[in-house]
Amino acid sequence: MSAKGKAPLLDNNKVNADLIKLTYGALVAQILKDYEKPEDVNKQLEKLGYNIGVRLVEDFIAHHNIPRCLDFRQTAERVQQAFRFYLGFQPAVGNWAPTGNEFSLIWDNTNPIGDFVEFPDNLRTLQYSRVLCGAIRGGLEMVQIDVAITIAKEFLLGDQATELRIRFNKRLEDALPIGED
Amino acid sequence: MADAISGPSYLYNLLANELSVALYGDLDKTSENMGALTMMTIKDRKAAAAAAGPSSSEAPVDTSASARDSDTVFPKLESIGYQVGQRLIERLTKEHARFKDELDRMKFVCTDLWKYLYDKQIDTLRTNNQGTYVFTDNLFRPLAFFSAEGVDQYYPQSGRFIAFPCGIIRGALSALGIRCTVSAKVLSVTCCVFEVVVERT
Repeated sequence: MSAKGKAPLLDNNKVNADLIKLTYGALVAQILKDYEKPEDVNKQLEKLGYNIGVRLVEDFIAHHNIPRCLDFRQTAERVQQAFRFYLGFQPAVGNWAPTGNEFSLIWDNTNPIGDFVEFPDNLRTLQYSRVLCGAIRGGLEMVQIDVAITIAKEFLLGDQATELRIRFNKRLEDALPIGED
Repeated sequence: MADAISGPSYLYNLLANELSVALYGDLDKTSENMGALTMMTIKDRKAAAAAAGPSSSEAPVDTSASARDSDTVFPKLESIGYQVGQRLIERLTKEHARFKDELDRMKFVCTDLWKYLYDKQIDTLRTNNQGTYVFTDNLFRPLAFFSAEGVDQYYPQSGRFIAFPCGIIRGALSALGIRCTVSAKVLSVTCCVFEVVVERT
């Protein structure tokens, strides 16, 4: 690449968050048109999020100098940090289970990707935030953490906040290549 | 749009990729069909007709039906872009003065909208003054990450990345009151040319 080459543009690699939200909204609408049943749509969104998360985690780790997480609380912090990095909105971490293996990500009075969304009544089973669940699951799976995620509260459906409940299932051991760790 | 928060474009690139990959499943199947099609033309006027109301109902074109058979992904990607374009314009023109003429609106798309989307303006805008406009972007963001190596291998795939922006342009222009068809071709690795043909009735 020449000296006055393409670097400046690529360095300035920000994209408008509104664009992301609008694109995602249009995408959901299109999937809904294709699959019709909200349950099927949820499944697709989860898959889509998973695929994004699997790749996103590499980018995240490459951009941040992150030491190994020693317990699940640190993991929660990283997830929180990743949300700030990618969506510009930082969720609160809270509602820890006494055993320390379950926590919530909470956005008060907002949905990080649902700014322009209104829900029709016949689609109340559609989980608009499912893509976030998929992304977290996919991302954590790449770092050998298996989690189960449910949407506890959904701001778009009239709740006070958007809350994702994340439960630690197990550490994945098998995925490590021989000689690592 | 200084008030809007921004995230790294990598997330958006992934999302754009997922648009075509995850949704419509079998990528191999579609890329086989698209193998020969390096130059892409979208004539999905059906959506335009629907948006413009019954006045243009003669337009459900046969060519789009056959294109739909061979590949369903592009029209869908394009229609997603169309919706996004329409809504973006609503936001961007909120405090904008009234547009003088068609060229003025085209300029708006080339400068303001493009800056909003890709952080840069369209490099050249040419017109024959008879309703055909050609936008040239020499370093088109969605293609900027393509490797120059193996161009032949991935060249056919580039259509997947420009169908969506085509839709955005068409949606934006339709929100500005211009009905048109947009086609695009990738000239070199990062250079993309959009041709906008305004429909006169």
